[in-house]
Amino acid sequence: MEYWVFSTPPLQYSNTPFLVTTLIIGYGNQSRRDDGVGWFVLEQLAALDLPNVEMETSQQLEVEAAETISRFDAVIFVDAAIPEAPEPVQRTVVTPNFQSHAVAHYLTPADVLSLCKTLYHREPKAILFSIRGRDFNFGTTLSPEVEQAAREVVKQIVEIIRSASV
Amino acid sequence: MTTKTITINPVTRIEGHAKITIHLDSRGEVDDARFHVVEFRGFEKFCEGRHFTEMPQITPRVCGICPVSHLLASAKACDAIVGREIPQTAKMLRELMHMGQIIQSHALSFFHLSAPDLLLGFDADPAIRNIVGLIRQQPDIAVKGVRLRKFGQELIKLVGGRKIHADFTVPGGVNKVLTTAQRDEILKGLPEAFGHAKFALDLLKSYQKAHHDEVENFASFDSNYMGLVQPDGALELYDGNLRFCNAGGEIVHDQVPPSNYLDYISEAVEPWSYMKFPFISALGYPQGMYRVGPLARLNACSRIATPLADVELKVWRAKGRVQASSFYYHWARLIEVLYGLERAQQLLESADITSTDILVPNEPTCREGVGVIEAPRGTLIHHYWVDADGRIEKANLIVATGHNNLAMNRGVQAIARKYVKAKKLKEGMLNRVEAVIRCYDPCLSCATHAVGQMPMRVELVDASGQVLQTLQRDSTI
Repeated sequence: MEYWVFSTPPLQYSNTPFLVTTLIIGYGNQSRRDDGVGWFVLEQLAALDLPNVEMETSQQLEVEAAETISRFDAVIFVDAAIPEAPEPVQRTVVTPNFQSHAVAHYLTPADVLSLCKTLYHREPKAILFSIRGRDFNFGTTLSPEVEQAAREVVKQIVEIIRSASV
Repeated sequence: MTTKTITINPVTRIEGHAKITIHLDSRGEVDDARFHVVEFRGFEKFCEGRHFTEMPQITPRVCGICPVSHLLASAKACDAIVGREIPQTAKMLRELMHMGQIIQSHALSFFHLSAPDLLLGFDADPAIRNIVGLIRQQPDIAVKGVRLRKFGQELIKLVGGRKIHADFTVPGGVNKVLTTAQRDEILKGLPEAFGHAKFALDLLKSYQKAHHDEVENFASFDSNYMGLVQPDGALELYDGNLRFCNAGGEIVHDQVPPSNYLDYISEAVEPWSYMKFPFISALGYPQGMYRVGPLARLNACSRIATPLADVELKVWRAKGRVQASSFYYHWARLIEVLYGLERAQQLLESADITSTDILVPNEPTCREGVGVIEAPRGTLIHHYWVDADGRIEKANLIVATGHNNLAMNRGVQAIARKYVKAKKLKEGMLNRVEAVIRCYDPCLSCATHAVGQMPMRVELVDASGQVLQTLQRDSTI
């Protein structure tokens, strides 16, 4: 299955068009139980030594993320979703869209892509994995169902990376 | 008398979740206004039972915006529990990191949060009155903001090893020396950063001249002020003692050791807010309301110990010893950026900055420790009590937004009375009410996912609780 569809070869590696560089960003508050699921996913991925992949964790997305993602062909965001989210895991293709209400301390992936496009004229392909959280109280462990969903996300990300790197 | 309530929820472009209610009387005039904070503070409880040496790693997770401030205040509280003076180089490296935090945080606040209001206009279409709109109209300004913030972030990374949640500050000092190559790397970026800081100051002064009345009267009200100062009264952001002064700039308490803060500050409770309302004990509640943060620091200090920032302080004070307009927070923030750059340069040019004497043993010898620093948004207090094994029995964290709670309410009242008219609810007017909150750049982080996902809603409610009118700004505008 092809996940990244490039109309032109990736800009940074145009001489090696089959090489797609991917940044995976896991973000959330590790001290708020399920909000730290993005960190958990990246810990699992870090052990797999995936090719052409860099990883970054943060508590929340901030403006400088725009510059960071501008150096990659593709970005995968991993975040927790509110308990009311309809699915345990939701995978969304993200496109640039700066929302007028956005809290600038805390940007959405679409905000970051928009800033990247406006400031650096780059538009990496992007996917957001939203993992439904159950418990956002103070604590450092994940709910069992959230951990299970996180492991499924790890599998999906591995599949994406391998399909893009062959 | 029939009353109506206008609710603005949430306040955009601040950290966390808050709402404003504006209460109108039967004539449509503003009767009262309140800044509600719906943050639930439970972090102190979460810390109980942990070993004190873990606190500098745990407490920065209160917030993704100012983790360095919590890291440093926590480390200072732990130093007090260790009961030994930390090496001079460790102090310098911590202060250097703090200057990076001041620079990056203030740059974000000015260029990305407030500049859209100032440069695109309060009455501009909300769809463009944001950082992307600013980039499209004035890309050069936005790029300078990004570059200045990045300089601060890179400084933090070079000193501490990471931009966020660096583990380099530990009880008793720091665990990583600064190499000469790292020192030179930071120094290399200073000239450009100075240029951007001066550019921002010139921009703000131009705005001040063009919008004189608005600047001088923007949520202007009398209050007391609190901030750290050096022994001679000069501005201090990392160490020093507390100074309290009144609305006229007269000193109420001076050179108060931070560990004695409980003797000078009390906290009141209001039924409509989760946050407490600190006040100066000697002046009572609510007369003892005080402000902290950039405006308060510049009002409280006698001078600034770096030359360029001291010149700018004199310009800032041209209209009087004390500035009461909340707009002056923005200006003060930029002067502190200049100070941060100058102070960073002083520290980097000291031969001691690359010394390897950076840590003392960190066995607990005291059962209590207080750490205070001036975070970008204001005075940050960490107070820990430990058992004989060094485990936390109790923790008390007072953040800048807590100190400013009462003042922000006063600011909202002042601006609402001036700009909100019940029969003319315009976007620009509402944004001015929000803008006064943004002057304080409050940080109410509670990691809620509701933030940024809710539309802004304005409700008119009469005394019986019936909603008379609802205005909503959808997130897709």
